[in-house]
Formats: sequence, structure tokens, C-alpha cells
Amino acid sequence: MKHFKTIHLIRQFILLLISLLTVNYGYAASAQDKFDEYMVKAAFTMNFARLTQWPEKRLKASEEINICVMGNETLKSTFTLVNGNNINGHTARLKIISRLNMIKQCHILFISGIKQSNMRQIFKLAQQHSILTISELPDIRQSHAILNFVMHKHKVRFQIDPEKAQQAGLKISSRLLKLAIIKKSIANRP
Amino acid sequence: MIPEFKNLSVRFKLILMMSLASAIGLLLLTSAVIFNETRRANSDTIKELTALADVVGWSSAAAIAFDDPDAARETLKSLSTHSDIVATILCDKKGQVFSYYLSPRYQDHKTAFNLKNDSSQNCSDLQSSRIHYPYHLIIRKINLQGENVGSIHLVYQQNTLGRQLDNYYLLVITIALLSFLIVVLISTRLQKVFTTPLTELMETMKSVSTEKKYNIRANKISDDEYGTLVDVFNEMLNEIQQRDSQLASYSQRLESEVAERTKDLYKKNNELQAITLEALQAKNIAEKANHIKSDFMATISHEIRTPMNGVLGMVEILLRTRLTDKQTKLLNTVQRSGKSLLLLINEILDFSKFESGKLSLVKQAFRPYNLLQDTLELFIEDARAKGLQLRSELVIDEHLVLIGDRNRLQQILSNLLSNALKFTNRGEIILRCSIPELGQYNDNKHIKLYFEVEDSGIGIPYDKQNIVFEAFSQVDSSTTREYSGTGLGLSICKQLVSLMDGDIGVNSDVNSGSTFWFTITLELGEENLLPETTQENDCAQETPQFAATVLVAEDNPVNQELARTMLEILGCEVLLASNGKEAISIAEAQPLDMILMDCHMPQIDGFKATEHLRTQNELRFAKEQLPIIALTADVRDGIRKQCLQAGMNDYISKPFTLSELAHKLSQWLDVSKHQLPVVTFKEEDITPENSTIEKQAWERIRELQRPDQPDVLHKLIRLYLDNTPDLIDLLSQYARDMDKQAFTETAHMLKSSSTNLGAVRLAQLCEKIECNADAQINQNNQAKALELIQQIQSEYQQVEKELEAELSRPDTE
Repeated sequence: MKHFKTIHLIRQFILLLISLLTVNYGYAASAQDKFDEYMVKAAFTMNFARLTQWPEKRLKASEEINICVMGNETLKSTFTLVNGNNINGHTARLKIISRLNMIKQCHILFISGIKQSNMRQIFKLAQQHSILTISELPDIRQSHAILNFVMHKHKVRFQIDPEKAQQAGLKISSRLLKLAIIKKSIANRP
Repeated sequence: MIPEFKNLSVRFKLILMMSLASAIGLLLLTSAVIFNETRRANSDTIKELTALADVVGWSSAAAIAFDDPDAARETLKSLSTHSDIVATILCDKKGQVFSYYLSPRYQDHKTAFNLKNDSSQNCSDLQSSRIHYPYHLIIRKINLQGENVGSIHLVYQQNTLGRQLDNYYLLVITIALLSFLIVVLISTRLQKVFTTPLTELMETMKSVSTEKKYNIRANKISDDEYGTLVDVFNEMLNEIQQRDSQLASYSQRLESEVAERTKDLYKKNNELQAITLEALQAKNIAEKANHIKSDFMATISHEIRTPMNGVLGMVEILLRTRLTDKQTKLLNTVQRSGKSLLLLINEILDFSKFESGKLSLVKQAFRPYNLLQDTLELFIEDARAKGLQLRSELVIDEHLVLIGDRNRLQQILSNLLSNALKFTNRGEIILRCSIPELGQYNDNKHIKLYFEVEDSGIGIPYDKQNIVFEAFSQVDSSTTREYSGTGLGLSICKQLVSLMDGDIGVNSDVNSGSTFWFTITLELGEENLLPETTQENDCAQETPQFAATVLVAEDNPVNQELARTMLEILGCEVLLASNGKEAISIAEAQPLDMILMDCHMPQIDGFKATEHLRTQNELRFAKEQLPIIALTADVRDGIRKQCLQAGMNDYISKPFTLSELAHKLSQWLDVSKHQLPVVTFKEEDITPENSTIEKQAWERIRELQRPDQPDVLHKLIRLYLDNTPDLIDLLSQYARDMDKQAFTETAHMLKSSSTNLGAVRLAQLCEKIECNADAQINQNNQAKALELIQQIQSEYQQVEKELEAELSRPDTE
């Protein structure tokens, strides 16, 4: 609860900051929506982390879970709330990724606002390092990520490619799969 | 009304107790089972539903985490199969309803749980405080990999459980009821285990008590307390039976004994009856014999008395004639012998009366003092003859009057006195009479008198003192010969004394004399009850003269002659009749003043003749006009009554003396008309040939002489000579003064002193004037008296001469 209160305060603060910075009301509104969206995604991301099992060597006991983000500022600022959260006995840590070689340390990697070709490269690399990759594209079949946020009826929903997760050496809980909109991998498509 | 518990039958009590116990047990058990089962079932339900909630929560955790209510609803739908679950509500982390599911059966209950369709509802509305029975609430937290994501609220109703439990309860209760029923059934059977031996015992007891059969035994069924009870009861019965049989044997024995005794008794009774009969017969015989005896006695008495009358009467008359000393002496002996014979006859007669119980006492007033004096008088002569001193110590009032049988009392006294005289040879005899301290009775109507006759005779040995009062006994049978007597005297005394309500006894020892004493109780009398008696003095023997015509009816010629002689001596004119018939004809033929009637005469006896005369209805034959006096030798008690009944005035029993006859005449004849004054003295009465002094008297006085004492005779003579002239002077003076009483007393005194000194003629002369005092001391005969005094004077001069001569002799040593 305390946690939520802190988040709430932070959110209020950021909201106030943004409203000061932007004159455009419309823009401001859109910014507010975006903020909420990322807040939910950040929470979802932590839940993903909870329902995912990394290979032992990749996530040792009492090791911190590094949640890495790559994207715009809103994303980065909202995702700070994951910091310090306990995920299956591990403390979550937000990592802002600016260079590619930095992704080795990530356990989760959320990429937003970059080109699909680049994204593909990064996700292929990430796959080798057993990183749960998350994108926010309209369809997962375009992103090559394991998870993909989509908006459905103004609500944040997500898609999963279990095959890719398997390839990355991650075990994703069935409960997560149950909630996913699309679960098929592109490769599995006929 | 329900009967009290304690009055219920044991059977019922047992059933009730066993049923109650089992019911309580079953109730407790059932309650425990049901309670436990309910609890268990409840906790099971809670566990189950909690587990279910947890599963659903787990399944929904991701949905909540990823904010996917639809997915959550899908999961919740899976609960629809569970019939107990009413609603399931998922709440998110913020406490808002995330998703819910309401069982289609409870759609209408929606509002009951405040469930709205929008998702803004707060989960706090669903707190357990708002969920009421029959609904229950389970709240579980939902975690996603350790992270709280929300909670699940499960509302349920224990439908299934309730049904299950209902079934279960039904089963349990059914089982309980069945068990209770079985228990009741068993207990109704089991109570017989207790009640059957009891009932049997009771039956046995009842049959024992109603039929009194003590040989019945109770059956022993078991070895428990009942068995013991039966044993004890049987033992008791045994004992009772034993006692019963013992009792029976006792009573049988008793019965037989009683029968035996009854038989004995019957036998004895018969014997007794026979004996009684015999005794009765014997009694009759005895009575008859006694009657014969008493008749015999009467006859004997009569037969003896009749000749005795002649003998004694004739002797008496003969003694009145001029006789020589020798003749007088002989005649006196004849008279004494006759008198003692009469006494003997009387004693024997009295004794036979006692034997037959026919003796009864007569009641008449008398002066005991006079009686004692008179009685003593009778023995003075005998005592003097024997040289004994006879005196009396009478401590009673001279004028005391008593009522009793005077003659019988005199008989007792005479008996004792004559005994005393008989057994005493020297010394003295004292007659005492007194009223003992306790003699006065409370009623003031009776008095006790004490009499005592003391002698200085031979005495009675102590061991013989009791038998002297028995009939025909004397101290020594040898004494009978030495001392005369029938031995009946004291026995008669004893009988008489006891008839007079008194005692008799003797104090004596050998050679120290005897003291016979007796007490009698007599009624106190009054002066006026005394029979009028002519002045009794020494002149009784003097013959009064009667101018009367007397008829003597007597068949015995001797007695006829005797009566005539006696009556003629008394101055009467006498007519004779030999039987009743003659008597009647004489009485009718000429006037009579009196009839002496013998009772037993031929043809018409005295009774019939008297009756005939009395019934003549003639004034001259009336009882007052013509006294008839019976002459009878019959001395039976009834004779007086018989005489009176026949109309006679009185009776004289044979033998009678002249004085007795004279007494009767003076009693029944009108004295003023018939008695003549004694004016003439028959010279033959005086004995001039007697010496002036009888020297025997002097001898008697000399016997009183004690050694070393002055001569008694001389002393007395001097005393006599000193007093006599004065007495003679007094006599003549009294005669002149016509002081009758003083004259009589002086004459008597002179007579006594003269007699003592043997001056017989002088004494006779004195007696003469004393006895004729009535006739002499009056105007007509004064001279005659003075003439007699003159004779006394001259006689005294002769006596004086002789006495002087004696005095001139020297005193005898």
C-alpha cells in the first residue's frame, strides 16, 4: 500500500511537471494517457517477470532482476517505479539501455520507439542471452519479441510467442499464456 | 394423577431406571456425535471452501495482475458446479471489486450482497459483518508469486452440508431411538431377572401365610443376593416349621395330658361324690345319733331329776325339823351328795349342749358386784370348813349394771372357785375382778371384764396347763380319784367364756398355786333394766308366809308330797291333782291363787291343761289372775319358751329348793294380798340344846395363830366383849326409834361377830331380828322386837361368861 501511495505521489508530481512544460492541452492529454499506459505496462512487466522462469545460470539466487528499457522519456520515467520491487525473491532494478552491448545484463528488455529492423537485431541478440523481450507493436508477428503490448478496447493487453520464449530458454507460466491474446509464434504459422 | 415414584412397582421402577439411564447415555452420545459431526463438517466445509477459494484465487491471480476481469470471470464460472457457493467476489489490490460471480440460483440475492454491475464497488461492503446466516463468508488473499494482487470473497450456504447433516442426524436419532427401544425391550425382559425371584418369593410367602403350610420352600434360582434371601427365608421357614411341629407336639402332649388329668379328675370327682354321699349319710346318721343322744340326755336328766327332786326336797324339809347333831350331820352329807350329783348331771348336760351347739346365752341385766359377792358367799362355808381364807379384790363399781347371762357367769366363777377349793389344802383363795385398761369399748355399749381366781394349791405343771381346758381331763388321771369331778368343768368354762367373747387361761406351776383368769365382754346396762328383786340378804333362807290356795298338778306321788309339804311350810293351802284333766276340773270347781303344773303328765299334760284353761275365756283363768308355774325336770333351752307359749307365767326346774319356790310365790302372787307378816317365831327353829359357844369356831381362829404373835383368839374375844354391849344398846334404841335400816345393819353386825366367835345361839337370835326387821320395826310389833332384844341381852350374858373364862386362861403358845 505504501508502495502504491509513493507511486501515486510520483505520478502526481510527474503529471504536474508535464503540464507545466506543455502548453498544448491536447498534447497534454495525450501525454497523460501515455503516462497511464506505461504505468500499467511497467506493472505488467513486473508481473511478466514474476510468471517467467529464467535459466538458473542466467538468474542466480538473490541476484537482482534487471529490467531494461529502451525508448522515450515517458517510458523511462514511468518504469522507474519497478525499482526495488520484489520479484520472486529478487529485487527489481531498472536499467536504461542506450547501447546494444548493455543488454547482456538485462533480464527483461522493453524496447519502444525504434525501428523494426534494429529491433529484430537486438531481439535476436537478446534471445541468446535469455532475455524476456517486450515490444509494443500492433502485432507480435512484426516485432520478433517474446511479449508484445497491444491496446485492446482501451485496455493494455499483451501477446506472447511461446516458441520464441522457449528458444530463449525461458519458461513462461501457463497462467500468463492463458491471458495472452495471441500465443502463436510467427514461425509456427502455417 | 401420577402415582408417586416410590409407590410404583419394582418392575416398573427397574424398567424406568434402565430406560432412563440408557436414554441419558444415548442422548449424551448422540449430542456428542452430532456436535462433533457438525463441527467437523463445518470445519471440513470451511477447509474445502478455503482450498477452493485458494485455487480460484490462484487461478485468478494473473487475471487480476493483468487487469483482465473477463478472464477472471471465466475462472469464477468454474465454481458454478459447487452448489453451496452463493457468490464469489474478486477484489483487486486497491480493495475494489475486480470481478464477481453470483450463482444463478441466487441471482435475486444480488442486492443482499450489495453487488453492483460497475467495478467501482468497494470490497469493504462485503465484510463478514454484513453477511448473515445462513450465508457464510470466506476471505482469502490472492498472491501472484508472493506478491499480493487482491483477495477473494467466497459467500456460501451450507446446503449440502445441511442436507448431509440432516441425514446424519436422522440416522443418529433413528439409531438412538432404536437403541432406546431395544433397551426398553431388554429391560422389560431383564427386570424379570430381578423381579421374578422376588415375585416367586412373594408367592411362596403368601402361600405360607395364607395356607399356614410351613413345609413349602422357595426355589433358589441363582447364587446372588436373591439366592441368599431365599436361603435365609427357607431357613426361617425351617425354623418356624420346627417350632410349629414342636408346638404341635407340645400341644398334643398337653392335650393328652389334659385328657388324662380330666379322666383322673372325673374319676376323683366320682370318688369324691361317692365319699360325699357316704359322708352325707354318715352325717345324717351322726345327726340322728346326736339327736338321739340329746334326747337321751334330756330323758336321763328328766328321769334323774325327778327322783332327785324328791330326795333333795325331802332332805331340806327334814333339815328344818328338830334333829340331833348326828342326824343333822348325816342329812347335810346327803344333801351335799345330792347337790354334787345334780351338779354332775348339769355339767354333763351342758357339755352335751355344747357338743350339739344348742347352748345359747340369756340376756338379763345384773350387777356384777353383787353377783361376785353372792358367788363368793356360796363358798365361804366350804372354805371355812377346809380352813382356807377366801377373799375378794373387786376393782369395779358397786353399781355397775351389765347385761348378760348372769347364771352362766356364776357357773364359770363357781367352777373356778370350786376347783380352787378342791385343789387347795391350805392358804388362801382370792377372787379378783377388774376392768382392764382396754376394757372400755369405743361404742360405750360394751365393756370387758377381767376375772381371776388365785389359789395356793398344788398347781399345774407347765406342760399340762393347756389340757386342763379340754374335756374329761385332769392334770393327772390319778387325781380323778383323789379329787372328785368329771373333768368337764373347765372345758365348759372355756366354752362359756368363748360364747361371751372372751379368753380363759391359767398361770401356774407345781406347788406354787394356780391363777385361773378369764375375760368376757358384756353389754353395758341401765339401772332400770334390773329385774325387781326382793331385798336379798341373809334372810333368804327364812320362810315367808303366804295366804294363798295353790293347786299342785303332779303325777309323781313323791314330788306331789314334796310340793305340798313345801307349800304348807310357806303357809299355803294346797290342792292336789295327779294329771291335767284333774287339774282342769279342780281349777274350774273352786277358786285358786296359783297352779304349779308339772309339764309331763299322763292323759293331759301340763301344756295342754294350761292352754285349755287359758282359752276358757274366763277372767279368773286369765294370765294375770291365775299364775300357772311349770314344774319340770326338763332343762333344755327351749323349755322356757315352750312354757310361755302354752300360757304359763314361769317355770321351776326340778329339783327345786324351798327358797326357790318361795321366790316364785313372792314373784307371782300379789304380795300385799297374800304375803303374811312374819310375826311368830317357831321355837323349834332355835336350837336351845346347842351349847352357848361352839368351840369349833375357836379352833378355826386358833389356826390363824402365828408364832411369836399375841393370842388371836384372846384378841378377838376382847374386841368382841368391848363392842357387843354397845351394839345391843344401839339395837334397842333403833327399835324404839323405828330406824329399820340401822336396826337391820346393827343386827347383822352382831350376828357376824357372834358367829365368828361361835356364839351360835346369839347369832341365831340376831339373825331372827334381822330377818324379821320388816315385820317388827313398826308400831304393832315394836314390843315383840324389844322382847327379842331382851333375849339377846340375856344370851349375851352367858356368852360373856364363857368368853371371860377363856380369857382367864393363859395365852396359848
